[in-house]
Amino acid sequence: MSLSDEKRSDNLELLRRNIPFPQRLECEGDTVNKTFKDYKTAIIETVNCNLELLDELPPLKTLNIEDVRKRLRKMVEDNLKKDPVFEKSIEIVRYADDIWKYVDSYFREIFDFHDSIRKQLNSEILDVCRMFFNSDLPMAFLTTIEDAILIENDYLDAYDKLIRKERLNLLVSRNNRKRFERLCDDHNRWTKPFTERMDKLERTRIKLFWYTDFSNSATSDEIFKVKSIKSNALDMKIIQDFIDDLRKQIKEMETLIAPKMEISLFTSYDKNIGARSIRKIMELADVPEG
Amino acid sequence: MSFGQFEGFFLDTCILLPHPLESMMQACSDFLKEAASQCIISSSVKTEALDLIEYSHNAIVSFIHDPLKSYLESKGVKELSNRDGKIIADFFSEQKAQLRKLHYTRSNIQNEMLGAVENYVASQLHSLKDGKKIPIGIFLPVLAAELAVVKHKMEAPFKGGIRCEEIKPSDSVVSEVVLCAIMSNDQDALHLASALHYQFKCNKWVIFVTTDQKDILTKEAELREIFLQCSTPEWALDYRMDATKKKAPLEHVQDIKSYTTKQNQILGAMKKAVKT
Repeated sequence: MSLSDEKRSDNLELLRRNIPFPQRLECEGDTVNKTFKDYKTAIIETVNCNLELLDELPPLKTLNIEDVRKRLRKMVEDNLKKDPVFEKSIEIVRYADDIWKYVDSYFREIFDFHDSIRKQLNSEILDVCRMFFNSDLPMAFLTTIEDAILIENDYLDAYDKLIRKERLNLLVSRNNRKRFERLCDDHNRWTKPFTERMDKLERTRIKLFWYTDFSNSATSDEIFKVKSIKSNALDMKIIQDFIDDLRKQIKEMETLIAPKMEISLFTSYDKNIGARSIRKIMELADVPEG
Repeated sequence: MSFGQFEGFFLDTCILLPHPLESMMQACSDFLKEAASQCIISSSVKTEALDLIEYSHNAIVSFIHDPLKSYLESKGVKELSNRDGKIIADFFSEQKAQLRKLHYTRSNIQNEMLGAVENYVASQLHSLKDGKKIPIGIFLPVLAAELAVVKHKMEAPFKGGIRCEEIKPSDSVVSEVVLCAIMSNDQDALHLASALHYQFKCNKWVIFVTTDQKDILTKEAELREIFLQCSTPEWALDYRMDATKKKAPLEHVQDIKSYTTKQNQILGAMKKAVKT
């Protein structure tokens, strides 16, 4: 959890992310020159392959081997230039090379992006705990928002785990366009219900936080500032409706995520526990000596 | 005639919850590594576990929210440094006993949660550099945030990774389990009845896996008599081997020439329940 100076003084909660669907991947930097060069190289290589084959023939009695060589070179060249299948094979090799680079950097970006979101979520748990500790709000307010944040974290874990597997499949299938596209389609299909629900869940969570914070602010300058929260400044029926709605959405998410989760037992001395953040917070919150 | 009809291991709540003994924790963990794909939790186990975790979490948040805050304020502590460990230690020591009395549950969850938080606070407080101070206004919410993560991790195995079956055993089956095995705990009886109900409904053997020596494993013979095999996690896989050699449950009971009184009672209740 990172806690900036602003974060220490404010509980700033904003709708700021949208977990993207991996797009269908296409050739990148496909310049005419590069393509033409690849094409020429491929023709030369193919012609040479044919000539090497000619050299492997037993001696010919009726033909001059150099004449045959010239003739064969011309025939192969002319034939390849007219052959759409050959052209496609070069395109696919280029496509596969680009895909490798593209897919690899794309996934690196995704994993980094998710790590940033995790840090943000940890910080948001602290915001809601701080709000709760400065309030007379019911326990359900705290636990429901915490659960909503932590289910987002679970989703990221499940998502990362699955796309690591998908990344491998995509890379292995990079020169099989149909299979590649099918993998992208499959991915988009399974992520769609998650992202739709996650977006709704996040919006409800932030609305609940905003309603509580804004209703306890006398002026707009006070919004997101750490302050005392009084339930009598709120319509508790509205709060309860928000909580109920959020609970329902959390349940739906849990049902969706459950099959994608791995079993892990809790141990009190688990060093890799999610929010190992207190040390950092304590250090950041500390006033510099002297 | 069918042999080798084994459906899976029904897990008791305690298998997936923290244990005070590391050896027990290890046994559960090893068993799950080996057999997670064959494990099942009944809806009653899931509900009981999530309720216990929620209850314990709420009790400890209240404990951080009010008594700890007041205690620190009464000591005039507005900030904490690595020299204030003793103040926190005294508080945990005094309050833990009271908390256990006030919020007694039959599980170890509350102690584990509190232990995890105490351990966390101690290690982090000690690692602070000399002279660094943390306002209580940040310290307490951070504890609550840590507790939320602990709670979530405890809930995780009940929410995903293990197949959960919605089972509602009839009252008569639950009552017969209580009477036949002399069960003192209603929740245990419900979990056992769920496993038994599922076993006869699917006509495949199940094994009920638990570490509960006091209430369940001491009644192993009585439960076996009414056709439910119980086991500790260490030996559950061996019992599975045994189950695969037997005829399917319905055929097995048909082969018995004369039933004991308990068998008559449980089969009578089960017949009605499975038919409905």
